[in-house]
Amino acid sequence: MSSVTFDRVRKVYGDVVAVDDLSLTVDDGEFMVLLGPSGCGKSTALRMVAGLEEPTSGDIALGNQVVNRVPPKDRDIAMVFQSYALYPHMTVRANIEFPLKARKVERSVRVERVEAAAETLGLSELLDRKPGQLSGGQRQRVAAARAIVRRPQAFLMDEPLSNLDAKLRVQTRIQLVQLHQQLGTTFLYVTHDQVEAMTMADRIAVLHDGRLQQVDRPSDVYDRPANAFVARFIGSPPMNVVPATITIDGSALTLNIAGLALDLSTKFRPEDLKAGDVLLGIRPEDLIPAEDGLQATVLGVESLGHEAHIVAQCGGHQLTARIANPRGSLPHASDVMRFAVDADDVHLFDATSEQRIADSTSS
Amino acid sequence: MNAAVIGRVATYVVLAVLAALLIFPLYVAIVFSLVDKPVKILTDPPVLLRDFNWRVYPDAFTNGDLGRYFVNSIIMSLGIMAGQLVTSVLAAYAFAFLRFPFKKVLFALFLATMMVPVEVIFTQNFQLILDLGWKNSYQGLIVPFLAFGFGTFLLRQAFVAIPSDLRDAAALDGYGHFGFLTRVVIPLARPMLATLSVFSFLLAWNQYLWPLLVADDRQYRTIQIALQSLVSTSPDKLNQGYAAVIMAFVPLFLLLIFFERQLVRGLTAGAVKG
Repeated sequence: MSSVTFDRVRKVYGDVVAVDDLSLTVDDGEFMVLLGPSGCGKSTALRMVAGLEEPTSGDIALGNQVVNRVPPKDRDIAMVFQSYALYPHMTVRANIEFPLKARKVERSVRVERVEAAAETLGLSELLDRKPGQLSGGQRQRVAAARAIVRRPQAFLMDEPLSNLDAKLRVQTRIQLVQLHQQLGTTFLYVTHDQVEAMTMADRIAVLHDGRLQQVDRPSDVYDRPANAFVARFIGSPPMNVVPATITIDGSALTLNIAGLALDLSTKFRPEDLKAGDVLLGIRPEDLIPAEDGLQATVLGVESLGHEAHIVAQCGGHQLTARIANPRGSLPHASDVMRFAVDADDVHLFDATSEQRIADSTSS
Repeated sequence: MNAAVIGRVATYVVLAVLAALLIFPLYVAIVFSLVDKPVKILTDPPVLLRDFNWRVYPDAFTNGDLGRYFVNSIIMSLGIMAGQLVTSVLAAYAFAFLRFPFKKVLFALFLATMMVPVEVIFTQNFQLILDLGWKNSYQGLIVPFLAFGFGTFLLRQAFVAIPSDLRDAAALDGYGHFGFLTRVVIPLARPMLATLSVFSFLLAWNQYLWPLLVADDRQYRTIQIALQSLVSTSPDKLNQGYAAVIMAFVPLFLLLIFFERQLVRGLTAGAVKG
């Protein structure tokens, strides 16, 4: 087992900067998720750890050893691909055994370890089948078995669940977390799916346009997004981010949005803020239908059974509110309604840099 | 009858006519080869087999000394086939999986060799073979054909179809280029390798002009040259000539049967999602 370190890593393809100045340490035994929209450089970062791509500059280290020049086969790293990358002409057994053969592991040991890996992933009955005869979920488990059979220093996973159907994805998510607990090995997992990131990760690293936006525990990424991009990316539906203004009068801090004046002095100190434009972030669940508050015109309502999303127009901006367990009657399109906002639930971002404005409650 | 049935019947009729056209020369050769009195072929060509004589085949074999020529043809064809497989696999692998400068230009050059008729370079090749002292030798028959642009092209297309994730997975599993080539690429490209083997053997076996130039010694003469001499030197033994033609065809026929399943897969590879 070992840690994985990116030290000012940069990867450029022609004119395109895929990964820009990435510095990140995945601790030994940690489950780190690289999260970002497609094209954000997360897969490139993963492939550089595997040795399938070479960094343009910067260093990648496994444990204390810089591995920039070490070929993939000597890195002692296993990877699960989005396509599973099983060898179609080999049986499940031969697929799992393949990396052991390359390392000239003795036959009896090979048999033992293949069977142990198959047992762990519930593949014992399928060892003599070919990949073509397996379902997507089974193929995914064979790919995982081929990765664990070697007992590598670290596991890399490139969107391993994206080809599975929704139900199987939930099951496999749980299995992967259990596998991580069993093995205690470092996992570096790439996905664009925030639900996977939130449910599986010890820490999430959010990437956008090749740049690292935030590295934190899932709850911190959700509760204290580092900038407006992270705020908009995490959460379903995502956080509402709309322009607002701040006025400061002595010690009175007021946020003005669409005719509503909200006192922020419980959450912010005068020195935290400057008067003028800001970006206001509110999670959909923090917009609560009330008698008083932000006035908005309902554009549409989506009911999912356990919750409902109300999309409404407020002062030229679109807001989404989430109502948990909607029991009574839901509003209809073009109804006018009001939402209460608690100053404690407000996130503020700088209007130009879009970086989070720290509040007095954050440590 | 609906349109679909009529269409089907029409398809079968057209296919049957085409099949008959292709099989007819073979049929004629078989009938002529079994004729008892060969002179009749010229004056009164038989349409149906009547008084056939099986002795024609062993006679043709011994009179023409075909055994020797068969062996030469087999050595030459297998040599060319094996050589072309090795060079084409290696070149195709490089074009499909390696990164190197001028890759596209070099591949275009390989393709360009397919546009040049092989006869164009015969004189230069012949001069070289003379200079090397390889006239009347197996290497003289084989070596000029060891590089094969078409084979490289065919296999490169098959290799490119192998997902690059498999290359990456093999690299992480601990295999270099050679391990990946022998354990993954070759097994997966087997249908295309079979196609190339048959094609390359066929071309080599049917060569006429080059063996005629290089092997004028009987010891290295190939079956196709022998056929020509058998037919032209003894017009009264036309039936033996036809018998020899049929015998020369047998190895190709066996090869096709042997590889048939792989061949069909090879020729239609990538046609349907599989």
